[in-house]
Amino acid sequence: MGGEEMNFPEKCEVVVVGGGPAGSLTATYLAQKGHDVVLLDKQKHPRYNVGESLIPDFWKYTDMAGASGKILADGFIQKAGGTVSWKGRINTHTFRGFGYKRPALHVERDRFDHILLENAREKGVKVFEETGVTTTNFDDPGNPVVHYRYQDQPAGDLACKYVVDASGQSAVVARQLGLRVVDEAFRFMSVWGYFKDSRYIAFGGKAHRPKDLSQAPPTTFVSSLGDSGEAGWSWHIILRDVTSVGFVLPIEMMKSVRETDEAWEKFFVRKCQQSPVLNRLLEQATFVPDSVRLIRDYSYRSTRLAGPGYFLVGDAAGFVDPIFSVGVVLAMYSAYAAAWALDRCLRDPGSATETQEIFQWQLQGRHEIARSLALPRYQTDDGVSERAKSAIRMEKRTVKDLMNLASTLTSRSENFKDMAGDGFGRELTGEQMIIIDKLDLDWEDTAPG
Amino acid sequence: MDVIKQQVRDFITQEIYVDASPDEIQDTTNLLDSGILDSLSTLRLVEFLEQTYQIKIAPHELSEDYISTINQIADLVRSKK
Repeated sequence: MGGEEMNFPEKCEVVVVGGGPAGSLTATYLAQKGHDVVLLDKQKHPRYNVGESLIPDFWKYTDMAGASGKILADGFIQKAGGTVSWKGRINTHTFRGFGYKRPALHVERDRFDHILLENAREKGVKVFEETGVTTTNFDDPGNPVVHYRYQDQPAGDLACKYVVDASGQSAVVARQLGLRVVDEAFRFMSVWGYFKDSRYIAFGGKAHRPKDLSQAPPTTFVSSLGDSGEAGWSWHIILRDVTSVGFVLPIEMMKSVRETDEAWEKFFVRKCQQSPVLNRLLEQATFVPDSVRLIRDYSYRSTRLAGPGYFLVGDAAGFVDPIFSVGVVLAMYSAYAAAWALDRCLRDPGSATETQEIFQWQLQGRHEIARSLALPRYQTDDGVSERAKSAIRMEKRTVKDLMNLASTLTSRSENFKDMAGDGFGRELTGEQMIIIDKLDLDWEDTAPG
Repeated sequence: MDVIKQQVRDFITQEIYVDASPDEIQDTTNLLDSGILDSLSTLRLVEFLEQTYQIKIAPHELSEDYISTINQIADLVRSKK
């Protein structure tokens, strides 16, 4: 590597910082609308990422980007739905029962994100990998200048009309602008790792070995930790080669573990053993060495999602507890809304303030819905919950039903009913959700015939 | 014959809710309640209206009071021309 001729332009209309799903899609939608877009990603794809469970709502976004065929062709695991064990109560549900016709997926993010990034290139986005953004000069907010560095070469400048921060948890632009604040209501960390040959739980609560995957589609298994439902939760997501197992824990846990990789690995494995269900599912599994990762504090949000010369999308705009696998879909929505807004701003600069107001309103409303489903005790000022109420009313029946389910499963339903208003709390049908007494962890083979 | 209503109806059945049967979307059908318009398709609708009719939709107009039905949408467009 190195010495490669990279033709960096000196200017463009929009610079997108970050090539994950939010960045790739924002750039793709803008290119499809005829704009001149440059996307910079500091890593070389394919690259690892976490966030492996997708709800079926993502397809409409990949359809619009022209990427759905490639995603289907990759053969990702199609999951039936979820199994949630919350404070001793077990529910298992399928997406089909909610009227979704297309599958939910468990994805290896290196492959999934790579498909979206290559698709962006194909649609006319100028993509540059191994190119990190250091700072952006907003002295003239109508003409921001992005300072970037490719590999170890001297820094370069890229002038544009707008910068989109799609840099995920790094949130490079949001941080530079001082927009990123810790979300005090939500103090969690996450530690996760990978196993080979784990069993999984199918719809109905029976455990299966990986060889049964095509006959008995898996569910994402989520379980509360501790008795109160506020000590965190765990996930179990089976992928084609390995299984992703993770914990979301109160941030105080950080203090109980020494700051070494080894200590975190031991902590993670011990947590797996302490969980009655995970322990059984992992009985014959082997831990993948060096696979433990952690995020010390992901509970943050941005005080502002758009302003003179910039937009924030994806995790850079804010991240909420991933308990219901909404993160990637929320990121995709933000990409669509940002592209819509950017197109409007570029065509009619006089409308920028108003357009950004619409963008902010729409996106923050959806963030608030996610927060209300994830927070143990949701408190908010009136302005914010108005946005959420308005956002919920704008959702399809299937999505509303799913949110209703989600809120019921994790005893956040008071929050949700407050926000959703009348016409809610419909009884969920047996196709949508089954409450079961216990999981059948001894069941191994699918029934004959 | 209301040209604007027909154009809006065509956009919805061709771009947003492609599976609609002929009578499914009436001029008074509530598009938000029925899930035909959601937070995503609403933005697409606004883009269509603004570019087709050279108008600007205000932030508060992206709500159930202004765009719930084809009748309302047509009224909104006419009010701005």
